[in-house]
Parts: sequence; structure tokens; C-alpha cells
Amino acid sequence: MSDELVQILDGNTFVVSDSRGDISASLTDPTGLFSYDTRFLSKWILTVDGQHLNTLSVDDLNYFETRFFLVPGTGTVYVDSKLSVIRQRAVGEGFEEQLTILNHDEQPVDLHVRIDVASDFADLFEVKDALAKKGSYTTRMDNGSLVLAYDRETYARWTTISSSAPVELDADGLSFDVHLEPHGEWTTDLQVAAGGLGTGAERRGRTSKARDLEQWVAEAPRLECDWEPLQRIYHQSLVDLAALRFSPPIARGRSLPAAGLPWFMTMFGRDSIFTSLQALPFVPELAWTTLRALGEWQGSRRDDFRDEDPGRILHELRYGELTAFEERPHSAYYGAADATPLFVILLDEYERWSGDRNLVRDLEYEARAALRWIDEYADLQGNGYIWYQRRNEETGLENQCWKDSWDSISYRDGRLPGFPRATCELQGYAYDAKLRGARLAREFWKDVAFAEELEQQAADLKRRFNRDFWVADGQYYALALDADGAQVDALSSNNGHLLWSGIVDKSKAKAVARHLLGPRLFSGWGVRTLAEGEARYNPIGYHVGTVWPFDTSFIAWGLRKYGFKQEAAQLASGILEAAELFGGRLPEAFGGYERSVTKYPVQYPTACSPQAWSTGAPLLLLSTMLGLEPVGEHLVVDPALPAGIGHLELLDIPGRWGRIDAFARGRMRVR
Amino acid sequence: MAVSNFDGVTDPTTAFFDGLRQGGRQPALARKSGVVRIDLDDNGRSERWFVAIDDGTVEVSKRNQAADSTFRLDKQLFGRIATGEANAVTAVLRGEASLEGDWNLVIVFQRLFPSPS
Repeated sequence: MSDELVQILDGNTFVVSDSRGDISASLTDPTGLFSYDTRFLSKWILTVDGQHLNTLSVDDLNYFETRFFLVPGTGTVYVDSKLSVIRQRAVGEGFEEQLTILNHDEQPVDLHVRIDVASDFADLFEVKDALAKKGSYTTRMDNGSLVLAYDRETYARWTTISSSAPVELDADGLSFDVHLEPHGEWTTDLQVAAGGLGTGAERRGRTSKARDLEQWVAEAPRLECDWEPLQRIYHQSLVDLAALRFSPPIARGRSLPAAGLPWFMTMFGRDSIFTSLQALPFVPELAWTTLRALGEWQGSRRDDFRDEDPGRILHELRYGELTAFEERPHSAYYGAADATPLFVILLDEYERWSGDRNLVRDLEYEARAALRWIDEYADLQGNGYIWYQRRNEETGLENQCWKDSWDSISYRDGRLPGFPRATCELQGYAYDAKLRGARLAREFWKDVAFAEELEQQAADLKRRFNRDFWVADGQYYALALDADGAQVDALSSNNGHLLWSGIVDKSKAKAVARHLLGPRLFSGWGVRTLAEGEARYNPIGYHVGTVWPFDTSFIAWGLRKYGFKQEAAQLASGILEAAELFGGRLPEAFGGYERSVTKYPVQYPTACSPQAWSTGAPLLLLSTMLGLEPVGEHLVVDPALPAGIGHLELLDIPGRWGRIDAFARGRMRVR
Repeated sequence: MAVSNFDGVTDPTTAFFDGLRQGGRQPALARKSGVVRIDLDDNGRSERWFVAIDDGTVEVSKRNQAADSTFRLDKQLFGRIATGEANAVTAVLRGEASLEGDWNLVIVFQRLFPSPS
């Protein structure tokens, strides 16, 4: 297989192939046609007269459409073919592929064209963890189509493959006998449809998708800037957000962002909320749908398998076989300790931008239940903090914060604390959620007593937090408290989220900011997840040293909130310059190496891309540089640009004010 | 009023709907509205329930009416869902139950099912 993978996607349906357009997947590699967490095609190999094809070029036409230019292979570098083969593929209800063969010769030619097909119907989790299947496979011809099917008890999924041109079908593929006149052309339209999950979700056709993308970009604010790469990064962000949108059956035809390709093309509480926050000034509809969908799926029961509690916001929702048979808990799984307070934060922030009081009223029950969850279900130690400890010991998540890998929470010396754990940013989110909940209670639910109670709790939480989490000899906040109430004392990027939440005492903010921009945390591109010098620090460790663009974008927002404008601008410029070097699209994470050493950001080996909250990072950095802040019915603009950007304009920012423009001029020379 | 089968054991489906009838207002369904139809297959005999939700009030009936969503499954399975033994979402994913119309309403309706025992 060729090295370069080509992917096209539309929401939670995507196709990953090699650069010839072929799919030849082993169980463990994420190539194939995937829809709703299931692989519907694991083999799709085109040959002409028994020969594989060579790639001349691949055109990415759109996020959902690509075109492969091929010639029959000779195995040599020198290509002198009398034939051209063009595969044009678009994601649909599965995918459609137009296969065209051109004869450039003066002579007619007869060809045997063959496509070998197969499907393993693997659950994405099986691909990720290399698990074996329990059901049975069948193949049948049905009305001129080839149907590959998988059944396990009542569970049934199938792939239907059909061709517009006459075709000979057998269990392993499609054969065409093609006669081409001199300079003749042959073409067929192939349809590959994923079947079995009657979700009622509507799939749009190719033209309507292209129109929709145009409209999506056109409706977003327009960016003018003298630093040209920013235009490209901005455009890429909008297009990738469009690509990652999907309309789960519950979203009433509206869309919310899936988390990222290839493993996370589904609804995640945390990712959807962070992405919606980042995108609020640009595409506010994502927030609306996210709040609606997460509200409707809000936990209502005590369910240990799903780590579900009343009021808890979901972590992850999946549709595949392992979920269906309850071999995995994702129906939905609730093991996140941050999504619930973040839900309240997003609801408040969304109202401040949009003025949509109806949604705040519609979600009163859910928001109250979320606030109640913080006190009644998350405080596992009974001391007024959010703690987490999974009840599903087998398939639940150990770390229920955004740094959810096994080794992400450590002491300076590298030891891992026991459970439960109370990471610091969770307390910040709880604080912010209580204050924002108080505003909603006072203004919209007309419940002054509840508002006062929440404000009282928030003040108390802030006081205790600044006492219990502050590492006095390091002048920063501990990563967590352990079950004994002792500090898990490593220095981490989580400090930046604390600024964003507002829980940081004014007197401590300067020390925190100094760390975030200091040599141990700031790499020159962004803020490392774990500080250099900590025992577990590793510049390519998933949550223990890499830089996550989304993380840095929220840290920049936090710095702005405490008045550190230039520092925020410096982070913005680091991440945006990295984005430029990544070709306009930021990966999920990249190496924490010192910028002056590598000169180039080093991509984390298996990082997902595009990834929703990385896609959202440039957007949040833009609004941070412009200092956008809704105040009452107005949008306040208070810009601070980094060196290198002379002027920046964001035109037609949507919100409760209608549309408004923001202008900024840098203090530095214009390039 | 619970109906007992010949073993003298209360039919969990009927018990569930009776509980809804008598339970009064459901705060968890505030500002939600729509009619859920539940089609049950009881060994070849079909049984049909309608639950009309209107801003937290629920009205249970067997009288035919227009529904926003239809949940179709075996009565035994519904009984297990109604007592918290089985899960409605995974039943749909497995193809043991089917869902037509407005998914949102049924997802919200799930709030009325008890925690797993």
C-alpha cells in the first residue's frame, strides 16, 4: 500500500484509502469505508488486466470528494501508458465512485477491469484494539447488486454495491469486460451503500453539500489580515469544521461537531463543548445543537456500567457492534468529570453571545440537574470538590478529565496517585459553572435564592481552592489532590484553564502567567501539557509534554481574562505560526520540543487530524487577539496583536447585536 | 391498578404505565412535548400504548392518536427496560427494537426508566 493515505469525510461517514484509491485493510489499520463506527468496506482494489495502477496525482476537490488520476502499472518509474484511469469519489450514504477509462491509442483495446471487494464489518473499537468478531458473514446478489452482510443475533449490517454499467458479480467483486475504440472512453458509476442502522439521518447529495459548504463559509465572518497565512488557516478551520459536522439522529437535522478523524467521529461531550465555545463568534449554531443534544442525552439514572449519574453530561456516544452488545459502555458513556460543568458554562456563554433566552429556558431542568450533579454526585470525598473514580472498572475511563491517558496525572517525582482524584481544572470549571448558573437563575429562571446560594458556594470554593491547591514553593496550582487530600504537585498546563475559569486569586495570577510563558511550560509554539523537568515529562508523551493547540487556545483566553494581553498574543502567534507550518491545519497535538531546537513543530505520531478542537483553536485565538467580549447588548473589541500582524479585521461577527465588525492595528511595523 | 398474569406476578409493562399515570408531573420532562407510541409484540398479539408528554405532564392511553415517535419491540424486552434490567438504546442498536420518527423524544422519554437493578 502507498504511504500517503487519502481521506474524505462527511460527518461520521468517511473513507480512507491509499493514494491509488485502493482499500486493503488489515484488522488493525483504520482504512476503509466507515459509517456510524462500523467499517462497511475493508477491501476495494481496482485492477486493469490484472495489474494494479500507479498514481499520477490526487486532487482533493472537497472534504467529501476526491479524484485519483491513475495509469496501469509497469513497476518502473517510466510511465508511457496508452490508458488513463480516473476515479472520482464522494462520500454519500457510503460512497459513490465514478470510474472512467480513456484510451489514448490509435488502436481499439479490450480490457478486463476488476474491483475486488470485502468487508469485515469491524467495530471501530475492534480496529483500535484488534478484537475478533462473533457473528457470521454472507454474500449475495440482489437485483443486480452485490450485498455483503454481517449478522449477529438480531444485529445486522450490510454493504450494497452496484454499478451503472453492465457488470459481472461474484462473491469477491465486480468484473467488467470493456471494449474501447481508438480515443474512446468508458465510464461507470459505482455505488457503495452502508445499511442496517435505521437512524433516519438524512444524507445530502454532492451538489447540495458543495452548496452548503459555500454557504457555511459565506455566513461566517470575513477575515482581512496583512499576514497572509492567517487567511488560509482561517479558511481551513471553517472548512474542517464543516467536514466534521454531523447530524446525529437526535439533532433535528442541525449539526454538531464530531471530535476527530479517524477514531472520534462521534459525539463527545467535552470536545463538542470546547469546540462550540471556540466557534461561538463564528458559527454559533454548533453551540445550539451541542447544548440540545447533550441536554437530551443527559444522564438520569445511576448506572455503574455507563458511569452514569442523574444530571451528568455524556462523555461519548457510539453506534457500533460492541456498544450494541454492551461489551463497551458507550450507549452513552458518562465517564467525564468536566463535561457537566462545561455544559452550564457553554449555555451561559451562548446566551451572552446570541441572546437566545428560549434555549436557556428550555434547558432549565438540565442546567439545574447539571449543577446539582456537581454537589451531589461528583463530590466523592464530601469536601466540596469534584472527584472522579470510575465505577466501571473493566471498560470505563481511569482519567475522566481532558488528559485522559493513564499516566497524565502525576506527582513531580513521577508517582501516580490513587483514586479518587480531583484535578485542578475541574474545580475551576465548577466555580465558573456556579457563577454562570447564578446569572441564568437570576435573569431567566427568576430564582434569586438559588442564584445567591450558587454565588455563596462559588466564593467558598474559590477560597478553599486557593488554599488547598496552591503549591507555595513552586508558585503554581497543583495538578490535582489525591485521595488523602495531598497535592499532586506536578506543574502542568492545567494552570491556564484555571485562569480561564476565574478561580485564580488576583494575587496569584502573575505567578501563574509567568509559568505559562516560562521556559518549562512554553515551548515557543505553545504550552506543554506537562512542564519540562517533571519526572514524567516527555516531549512526545500524549498528555505529558506535547503541546495541544486547543489547550493553548483556552490558556490564551484565560490570560486575557486576567489582563495579560501581550502574553495571550504571544501564545496566539506561536500556535498560528505552527499552523502555517502544518499547512493551515493544526493536528490534535504536536511535540513539546523547544522551538529554537527543532525550528519546525514535530507532529505527534498518531494524532488525529482534522480534530475538532484543534480546528477551533485558530478561531478562539482570533477572538482572543481581538479581545471580543459580549457585554450586555454590545460586543466589546479590545485588540492586542502579536508582532508580525499589522492589521486584522473580522467583519460581520454574528450575535445579539446582529452583525458587527472588529478592527485591530498592531503596534509593530506592517510587513 | 396492576394486572397480574397467571403466576400472580405483576406484569412489569402494565406496572410501568400505571406508575406513570399515578406519578403526577414529571419534572424531568419539563418543556418537552410530543406523543410517544409504544408498539409491543406479546407473542404475536400486539399491544399499543401512547404517552402524551406536555411540558412535564404525561398522559397514558391506549387510544389511537397521532404519534411523533414510535418505539417497537417485544413486550418481554420492554418489561425488562421498564424495570431497569435492559437498555433501550442498545436494544435499538442491536435491532431488537426499532425507533421511528423523532429520536429526541424517545431519548428524553428514557428518563422515566429506572436505574439498573
